Amino acid sequence: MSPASAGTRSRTGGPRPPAVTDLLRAWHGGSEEAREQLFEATYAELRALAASYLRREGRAQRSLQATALVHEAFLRLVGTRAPWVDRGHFYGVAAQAMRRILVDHARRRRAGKRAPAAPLLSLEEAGELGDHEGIAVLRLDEALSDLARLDPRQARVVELRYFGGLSVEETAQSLELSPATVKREWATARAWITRQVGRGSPVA
Amino acid sequence: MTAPGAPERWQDVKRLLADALERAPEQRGAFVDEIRSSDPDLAREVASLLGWNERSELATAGPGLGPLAGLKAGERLGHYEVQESIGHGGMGEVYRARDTRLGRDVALKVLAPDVAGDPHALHRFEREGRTVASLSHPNILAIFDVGQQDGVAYAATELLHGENLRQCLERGPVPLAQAVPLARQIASGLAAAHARGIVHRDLKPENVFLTSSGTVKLLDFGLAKRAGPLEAPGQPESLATRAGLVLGTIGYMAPEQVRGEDVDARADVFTFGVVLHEMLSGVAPFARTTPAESLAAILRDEAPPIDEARVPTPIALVARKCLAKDPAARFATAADLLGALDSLPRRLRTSVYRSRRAAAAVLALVTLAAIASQSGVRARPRPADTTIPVGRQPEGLVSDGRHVWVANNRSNSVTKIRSADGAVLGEFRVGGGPMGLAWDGAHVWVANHEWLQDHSTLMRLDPTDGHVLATLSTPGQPMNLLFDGAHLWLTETWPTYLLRKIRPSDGADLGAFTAGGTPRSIAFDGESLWVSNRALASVTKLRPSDGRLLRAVDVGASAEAGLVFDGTHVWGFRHAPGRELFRLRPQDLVIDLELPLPGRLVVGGPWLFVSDSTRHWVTQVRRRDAAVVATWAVGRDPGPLAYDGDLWVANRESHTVSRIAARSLAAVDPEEAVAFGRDRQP
Repeated sequence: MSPASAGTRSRTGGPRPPAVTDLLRAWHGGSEEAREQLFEATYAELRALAASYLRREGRAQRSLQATALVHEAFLRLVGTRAPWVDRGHFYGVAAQAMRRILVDHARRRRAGKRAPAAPLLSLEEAGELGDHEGIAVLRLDEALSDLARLDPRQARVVELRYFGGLSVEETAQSLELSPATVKREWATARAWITRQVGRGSPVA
Repeated sequence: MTAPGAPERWQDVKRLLADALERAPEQRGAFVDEIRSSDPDLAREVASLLGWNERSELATAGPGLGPLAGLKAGERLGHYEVQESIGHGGMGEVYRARDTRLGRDVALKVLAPDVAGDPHALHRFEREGRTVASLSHPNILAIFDVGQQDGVAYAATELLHGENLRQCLERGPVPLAQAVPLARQIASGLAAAHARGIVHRDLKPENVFLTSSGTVKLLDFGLAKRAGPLEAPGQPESLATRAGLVLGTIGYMAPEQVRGEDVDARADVFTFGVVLHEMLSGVAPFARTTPAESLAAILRDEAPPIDEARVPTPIALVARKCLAKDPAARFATAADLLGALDSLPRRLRTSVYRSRRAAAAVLALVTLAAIASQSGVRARPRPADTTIPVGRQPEGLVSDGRHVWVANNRSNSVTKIRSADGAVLGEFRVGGGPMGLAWDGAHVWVANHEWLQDHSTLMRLDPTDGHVLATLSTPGQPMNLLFDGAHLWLTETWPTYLLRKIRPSDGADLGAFTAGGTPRSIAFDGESLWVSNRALASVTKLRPSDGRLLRAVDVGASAEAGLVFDGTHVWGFRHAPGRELFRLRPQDLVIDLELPLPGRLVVGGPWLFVSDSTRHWVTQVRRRDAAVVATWAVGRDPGPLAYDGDLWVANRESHTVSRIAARSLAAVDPEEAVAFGRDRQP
């Protein structure tokens, strides 16, 4: 068990901010372990949120909203009182967690397996996250991994903006870059990724 | 010499590519030529990426990777001859074109080829055609024809002259004399859609077109749906991702849309409220500097009040009712909304007019609808009597009869307040992250949620000077504490998820029991313990003597904090879509009431109080018939509640405690208060 399980905290009930904000702080202080814990907690919260959205009443009419999920996870785990620097770092981790969730899901779909039933994430229940989107996610994920080898910082920009739904300003906050730099990184990464994906990839 | 693709090389390419992209498109060729003269390989790479860049639609909006149609004047699609590009929408380009058969000009919306190759998008495009074609209404853009040629899908629609509401709003608020008729037309178009079971889902000023003749046309039913599965969207300006899927435009989405729940006509009603608010005040109520903040604002913030000096109250009330966070508190469909707009006094519909009577009439309408929808939301919460500053983020509250104790989660302290006059008698240092509080008749107990420590702690305090008399270590992180008259009960989360029994006299750990899930909140009915479990959607009943699990009740959705026993019923709160208060008949374990009210609970006299952290108020519910008696405005993010005759509310975000005096509580429900007092007489 990891502290991720303490993601059972909620707005209505629990010890919210000190937990994750302390982890954030420990991470600023250089603790890789704190970062791991933070990732696990965020990942668990996002999965739980996604699963609970999709599970309700067993109706297959919901779609997964990455941005909304990431944000709600933020509200639950960090709260609105967090200083901006924590906010940015949290979103950085959340975007990564969201990426992993979407990619895992797409892989499962490709493997033709039914995703495990609730309470694990089963995006099938969303009804409409079809293979098409799944493949797009896998291709993008792969291109992004290639980009990370070439330019890790730029890959982070894409991850935050795409999977975390962050604006230019938020991305800048998160990575401690100027918004102008983020804009340039984003624009050039877009061209590079478009080419990478467009030239075809083994996933297709 | 580095190999192409190597990190160093990429930095060069990137720098030049960024430079090129910052130039106007027609200057980029010359820029690449310049590079070519010194480094042809580099130039080739930059040129290649520039080429791909033009096809790139990778916005935060989603992959959408592929080229646009890019039709030129004179090209033909079906019997339409393209004249010029007049803009681009979510899924492709829009052209002015000539219908060569009928000899009229039309707008030709052309789906980008890659989008057309996407069965989802194509389906959506065609469905929009069908949807709108079924909605022949003067306030909805008419679609004449949908077709395909050489893999290019297109739709011919009426060609409009004028501007969209966004362009209009850029000049400031819409004068009242125009705003109401415009709102009426928007509502009328929506009502036609709702009548056919179609929800627009992406109403926003950009999608409201004002023709030069003054007619409103609703555009872009691309996200519209009938009851049925959601489609994957691809709407760049709507932050939609085909991977990540956000439907609707940030800032105009309804709370349930933000949360990814099912939406119905009431989501359009909310969005209408946002648009109306923006027309009246010139300010988009939930626009913030970042998308994430906008999302938060939609979920948590009330729309700022509309300037009453300029906007008559009845109209402001209509907007406010549309903007209720709870769908049940809004107009049920646009037709009801239209009815409310039409019931505004005639003069108000056409010019500036203020009348108390008019306000009262609409207020009555609004209130009636609120009652009918059982939302329990009253128009105006009443003010609390006292506000007392405490430490940061109060997460626990308990009364010892003469004092109220507050656990300040982020100040690592406990505040002692004198009940009689609300005076702060002291603030005492405790462990890290105090959460739960209990009073055992002699001492105050504090559960400290020590996040990064191996063990959390439970402390016993001297009630006179707040001195820590004993510190116990608890293996799990504590959530809530309850004193049942003999023992202390503690719910623990990670990593134990157990219910722990403690003897108050010496702090002995008498054992930990599984409550059947992840225990959150505890209630005691004089005989059995009731525990809400977050993970298993259950409320469980345990025997206090040995912690044996007696029964489990599936309450259908995650049971949250907030479980109380009022002498006859167990009341709880569950994290369902509507965030419901439920009432359980303990004898037969049946839920006999559901009410869309979120929050923590406390029983007080003849009433139950529920804190609503979203709307920053507390609702007073009559226990006998579950009628909502009043709402009380408190501080931000109210959570824990305590009752000692007066009601005490911990406001986590304001770092305050609000007090609502017994006489104020009685004044809103005098008969019940008197009856309750009489019943209690021996």
